Amino acid sequence: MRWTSMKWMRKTALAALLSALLILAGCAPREASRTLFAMDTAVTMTAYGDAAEAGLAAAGDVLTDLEARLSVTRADSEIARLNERGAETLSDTALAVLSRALSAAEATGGAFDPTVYPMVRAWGFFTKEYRVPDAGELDSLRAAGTFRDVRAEGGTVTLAPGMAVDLGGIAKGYAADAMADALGRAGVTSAILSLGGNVRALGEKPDGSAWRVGIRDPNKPDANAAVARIRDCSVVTSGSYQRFFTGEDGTVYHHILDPETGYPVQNELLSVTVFSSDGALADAYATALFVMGKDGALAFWREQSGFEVLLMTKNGEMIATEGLRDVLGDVSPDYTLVWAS
Amino acid sequence: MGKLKTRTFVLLFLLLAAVCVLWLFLQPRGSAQTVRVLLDGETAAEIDLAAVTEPYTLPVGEHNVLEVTRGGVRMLKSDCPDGSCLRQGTAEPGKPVICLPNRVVVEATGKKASDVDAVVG
Repeated sequence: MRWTSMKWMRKTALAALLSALLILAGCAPREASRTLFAMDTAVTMTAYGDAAEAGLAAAGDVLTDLEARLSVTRADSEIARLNERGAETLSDTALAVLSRALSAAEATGGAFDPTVYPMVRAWGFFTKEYRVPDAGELDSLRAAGTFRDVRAEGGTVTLAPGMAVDLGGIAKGYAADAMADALGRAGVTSAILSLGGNVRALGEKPDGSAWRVGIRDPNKPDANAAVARIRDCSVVTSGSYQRFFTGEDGTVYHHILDPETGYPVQNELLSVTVFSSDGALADAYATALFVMGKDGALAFWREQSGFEVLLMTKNGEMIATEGLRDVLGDVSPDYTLVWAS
Repeated sequence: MGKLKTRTFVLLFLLLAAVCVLWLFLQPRGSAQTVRVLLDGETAAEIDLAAVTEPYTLPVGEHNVLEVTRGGVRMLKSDCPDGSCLRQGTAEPGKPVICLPNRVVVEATGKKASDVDAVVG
């Protein structure tokens, strides 16, 4: 009797030890990370769970495919051919991204416009050979046409002479969604993607908590102005501090051009961050809302739905829309938080 | 029999406690543990920060130089046009230092310092 009990005890102890080890091993789910260069940025992907590696491979393929179709700097891409020839039959994929861009342009009254490309090029933001074009040059580039002059019939897209499109203002957000879908199809339920500061969260963290996304302080590139707690959401920031140069006249020119004038937008904003479950929309609207300025952006938010906005202004205000109340935290003392409703 | 059961439970409890303590000890402390340097998507160097005794510099490709200390890795020199990598500070888990024109990524793995899983802006 005593002997069997001892045996039983030893067995139980062993079982307990093994299950404890198993539980602890389970505490750290498999994590896989990959960094790629695409869409003129570094793309970092992290996924969790048994399907993580397969999911990242699938997501990487989606990104590479979109880049090859949409890049304006690759001569053989569908968009580069469209720009070169003025007319092109596009694949369903490229057509889908273009139509999202045109809808965003329509919705924002042209504050986002994929046809500003020739003007962005004139400033040297693509080649990094920066220059200040004169008003006449910008006017004639603008006169070639706007997003309203992009004609799509069936799969064939036609541009007016002198026009060119760049889907770079929406492609990263679109890609983030497509990559998240690919991860999901591979069986991944928890992943975070960063496409040059365009962040897309799939699901929640493996421990069930929300992802924490830092929102860079425009005045302190190494610090966060706030932290957002998100699940299944895209976060995209447009800021004048992201790409700029100082002209020979000493003026600082940044890369967000007003589609109306072709000059860098001058208003009270330093950055616009858009939150949405729709990454393409978040990407396009971040730029559009920057162009609209503080009042225009908030008015637009009030009349539309499906996204939330965080604005940082030159006078130290951080203006957040109502839907971010449970999202926003750790606000830097350098900013005065104001809620918009 | 009752006595044996109690002993079993005490033993189980002690075992679990021991495993928990061991687990806590094995947890990474501080922020970054190892730092991986990628050049054009390929691993160029892997640094175990715990093994760094003296700070040193590490060239990556022809255009960038890193500074490696026990506390982390940052970009020391770069010939890229905007030099934004020089202002990104030390690489932390979830916050890599990236030199886009030269395709250099410095990514840290380990326990996330405070704080965030990704950064926008």
